[in-house]
Amino acid sequence: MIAYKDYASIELLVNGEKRKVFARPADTLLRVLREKLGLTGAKPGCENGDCGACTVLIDGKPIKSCLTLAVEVGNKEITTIEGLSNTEIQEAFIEEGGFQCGYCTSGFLLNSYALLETHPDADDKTIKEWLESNLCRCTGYEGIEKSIKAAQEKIKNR
Amino acid sequence: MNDYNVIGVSTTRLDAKEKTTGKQIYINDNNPPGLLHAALKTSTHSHALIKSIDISLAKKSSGVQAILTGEDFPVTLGLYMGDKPPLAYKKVRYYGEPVAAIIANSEQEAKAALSLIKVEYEELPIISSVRNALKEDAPLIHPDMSKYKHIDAIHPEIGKNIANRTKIRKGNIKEGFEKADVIIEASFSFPPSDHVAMETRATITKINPRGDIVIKSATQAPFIVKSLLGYNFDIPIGKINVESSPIGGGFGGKAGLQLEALVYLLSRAVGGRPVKLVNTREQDLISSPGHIGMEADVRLGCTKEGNLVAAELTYLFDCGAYADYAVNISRAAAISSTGPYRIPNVSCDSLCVYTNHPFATAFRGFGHIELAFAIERSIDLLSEKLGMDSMEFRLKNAIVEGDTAPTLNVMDANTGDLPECIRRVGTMINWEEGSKIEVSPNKVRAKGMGLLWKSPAMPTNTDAGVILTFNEDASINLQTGIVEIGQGTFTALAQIVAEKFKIPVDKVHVVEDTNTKTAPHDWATAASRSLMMAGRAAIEASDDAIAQLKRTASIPLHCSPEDLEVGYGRIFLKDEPKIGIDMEKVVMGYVYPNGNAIEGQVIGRGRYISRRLSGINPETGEGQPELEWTLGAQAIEVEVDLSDGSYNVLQAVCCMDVGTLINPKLAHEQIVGGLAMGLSFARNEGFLFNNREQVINDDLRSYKILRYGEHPKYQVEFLNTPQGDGPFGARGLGEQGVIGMPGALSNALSRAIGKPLNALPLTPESIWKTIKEEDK
Amino acid sequence: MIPFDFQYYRPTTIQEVINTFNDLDSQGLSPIYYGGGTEIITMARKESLSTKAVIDIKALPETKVLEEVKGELVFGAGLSLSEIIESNLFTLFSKVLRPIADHTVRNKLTLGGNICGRLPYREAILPLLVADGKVVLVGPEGRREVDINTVFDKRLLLKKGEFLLQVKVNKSVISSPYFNRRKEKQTLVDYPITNIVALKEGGKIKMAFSGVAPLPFRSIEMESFINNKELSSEERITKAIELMPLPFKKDHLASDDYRRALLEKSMKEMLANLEGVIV
Repeated sequence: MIAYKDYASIELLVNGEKRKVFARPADTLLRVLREKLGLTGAKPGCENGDCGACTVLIDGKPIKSCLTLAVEVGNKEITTIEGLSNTEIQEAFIEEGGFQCGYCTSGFLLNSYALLETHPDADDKTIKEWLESNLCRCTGYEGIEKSIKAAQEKIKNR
Repeated sequence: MNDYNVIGVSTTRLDAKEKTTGKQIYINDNNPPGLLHAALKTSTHSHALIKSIDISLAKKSSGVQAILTGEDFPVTLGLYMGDKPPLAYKKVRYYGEPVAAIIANSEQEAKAALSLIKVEYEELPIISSVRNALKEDAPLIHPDMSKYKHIDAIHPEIGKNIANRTKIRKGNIKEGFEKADVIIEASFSFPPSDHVAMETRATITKINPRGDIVIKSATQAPFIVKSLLGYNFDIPIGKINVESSPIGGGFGGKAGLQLEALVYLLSRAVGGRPVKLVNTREQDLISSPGHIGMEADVRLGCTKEGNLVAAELTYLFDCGAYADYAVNISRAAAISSTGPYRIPNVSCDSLCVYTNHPFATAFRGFGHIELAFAIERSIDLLSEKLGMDSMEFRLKNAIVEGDTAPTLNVMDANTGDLPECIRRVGTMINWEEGSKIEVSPNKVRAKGMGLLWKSPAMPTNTDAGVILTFNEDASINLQTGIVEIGQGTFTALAQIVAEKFKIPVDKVHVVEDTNTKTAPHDWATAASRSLMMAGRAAIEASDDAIAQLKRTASIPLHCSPEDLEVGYGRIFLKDEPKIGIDMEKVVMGYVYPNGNAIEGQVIGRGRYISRRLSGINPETGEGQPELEWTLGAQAIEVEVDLSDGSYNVLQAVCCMDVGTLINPKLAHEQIVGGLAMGLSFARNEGFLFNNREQVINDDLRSYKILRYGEHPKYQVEFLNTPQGDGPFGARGLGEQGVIGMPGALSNALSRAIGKPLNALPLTPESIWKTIKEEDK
Repeated sequence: MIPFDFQYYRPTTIQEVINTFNDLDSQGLSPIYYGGGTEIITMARKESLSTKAVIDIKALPETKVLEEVKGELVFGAGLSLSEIIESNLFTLFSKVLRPIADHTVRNKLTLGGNICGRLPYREAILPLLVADGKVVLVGPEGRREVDINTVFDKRLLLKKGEFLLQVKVNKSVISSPYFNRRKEKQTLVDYPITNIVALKEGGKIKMAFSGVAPLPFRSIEMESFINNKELSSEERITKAIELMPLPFKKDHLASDDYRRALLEKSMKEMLANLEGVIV
């Protein structure tokens, strides 16, 4: 049985690296990533599970790191935006105007990345089902929608 | 645009890589050594006396360094009117108002101690609406208003809850209505709401041992922060340095003075140690200022031919508990009160009214999205009563060059072609097909239109500056006081400089962290004027640097500087381009083969200050407050289920006359973002209050903004009537996308159900209720 | 940021869970069971919930069961809603779970959390109520497997220290005709203002509701009217609604009148769908 009574040393597997942190059991994964590991790509937009700016991948699935305790995910693979580079979806976001202020972007990128890894041929309904988990206030979602479609094309030609 | 090198080209945003790899650093990502954290205790009442605040228990809580209350700072500050204490002092005037601040070693310790502070209140009568606030016997929210300092351009009414009144008296309103064959009267309203920038406000402040104040803040207005802090706290202004990184969305909500004054005071209270305050989402929504609310009464008349002749307008803005930017929003709404229509006789009273609601600050559109809702609905009501197609009515009355604005200013050659915008929008939305089509017994498709115009509301001496310095490889460093808020102005400025030097955009390096100590003065990144003004400064700075390059180069080239041209990384003879010298050899001064050096480095200076602006006459509104106008037309198509009021927005279209496009893709994205935000506001948004005026939707689970999948199909077109005094003929376009949307949406939905919908937000239930009323 | 501290335990056997609960309880730590944590974390941040210890039950293999066993479909309480939806073992169940929260949250939000949490919607229970399913409950007094309709009265009636381990439904329900209509204020990612789940078995319609009233419910009385074919369709609906065990809710999402109108509309659609009756 795992038991943490107070501040404890926990080991996380982040972007392929084992990282040791000292955290409270009540610390959310979002706070630990940002404040203990310097991975500030995950953003606090609401800390209430509503906006998706803090989205990271746990074993490849998007989850909201503000709704996750760091102690819960000790044995799982965590992927943050810092763990993505030169992916099709990142390129597409640049080419198709998937962002403006950039604050929601990490969350949108990780969610979209997971979507396209899971369902490369996702139809509009599936794209909507996944992406309605995140909020963007700048783009009106047009650029994000175009980015997903463009990334799908790129993935086909991998 | 044919001759340009990079103007009119959709170059990639400068911040593309940072923002798509999570490496863009925002204020809250910084944790300097020795940092302390602050947390705010907020009011649970909307209007109450503070009988006592017991901080004794909280003070003993782990990690707490200091606790401050309003008693510690018995001063009032403000942008235009000094009506607001940094922390509520003796009374609270809205739900969510900060009453105490805790500074602790960690954020967790600061927050843990909040619940240990005990505040005792004595409730006061609550003012729940602007109309209640204006009643004769209404209690005063600011009984001490006569003691507040305010700028001359606003006119508070002592002894009332009126923070400002702006009047427009154009023509003769009585005679105007006598000429009218058809008149409508209607009232419109919407509640206060919020910007919901994805990044909540955040500020870190420290005071260095020598007394220098360093403020890192998510602000659109570092120079306003600097000057207001200096003014209000009597600090030599040179000792204040405000730094703003790119910020996670502004929309007006990070202009003015936000958390900075308070965090300065907090840092001062702990010996200048760095203190960080980051709004929770809840506090960002209600404790910090949001989007203004409004109630409006409109009387509008036209002749039987459909020519508008008179408008009598009363705009009652709900600024909430404090004046902040709202006193200028209500003023801007008066200046632009008629919307882009030719109306010879206008009477407008635009009031900024105190209530016990969260207070309001600038919001994208600044008075124009608000007035446009009232005007565009009224235009539809009037054209309907007259029996004329609403698009035809708009075409007939659209303002054009030579017409006069409510301020009597004559619309000049920069006005653009609004009628053509309307026609284009008509084509895009297929107006000809019909503006109401039955799909099935319960389903109706309908269209609605809304026009927009906007001029920036800003001081008459609004300015911008650009400094260009050079690197040894002849690449250029560009520094301004502009802040990147998502709009992409830095990219456009780099394009302007690259165009001037005929070099690739990647040879221009923009300083993307704004710092008031090193950047040239800039009013604020607001009012859609950054590209216009800093763009002009960038041109002047380029010309200045080019002149210096020519002078230096003319010496070794043995010619007159007038014979030289700069471009493509060289300085060369105009008439014999093969003879020249590489810029690299000149930018740091020219060095002869024997080692002798001349002239020194090139530093380009560029300035811009708004031209020929003046205030307005307090009795008539006559004056020249408008720098430039951007006009356009918008339309929406909806499909409504008449059985329950639910609806989908199928299309949102816009045609705007923006002059020259510097970066077409960025411009398109700004407009689409504006359409979405205007749509979201009209469709979803607004604070919900209980009977004690407490906000009950204070998080993003209950305060809904537009989501992926709810967005319509967008179409955007531009007209390019050049702005004579704009950089390469460009004019502002950042805010304008929002302006016509509430009118267009409510016009479409009203048409669909055959009944007027004059209040926002347009929820399915509100539509259902209106449909049902009809049945009675 | 959760401002207060709590202890975190993740036992791997039922016995460990019980021992941990008893131990923490005797220390006065008011332990609570933790599933996906989505609700506990949000409420803890707002300090609308306080606890000194949480017991995460997701490491119990029994809570991750998702299979057919001897003619019964078994769903562990520690499954995420997404896992259940994607399995599609029980289509109506998947359909009802799909609009809860949003896709990303459903990757974390568990079945047990949705049913046992404090939020007054508990939509996951609706298909189980109309399917006359069973719940497996485990606590200091042992394990019991009971009909869900006997232990769910607007909330799951758990004894002290008891937690939901699994839910079960008879496999036959997957071929029964069903109906589900969920309405939101405006945005689909939101709590329901009305949600009706119905299943038709043996010619009879069974109905459960969330969002319409302060708490979710199934009502046998309402069903007796909705199944009374001697009445007109209009009357069946009107009478059924009159017998709602709780009043219509009115809050910031919708008025009681609007909820009633939407519910009537949904019930008409239900009759049309399940009986081919056009009202």
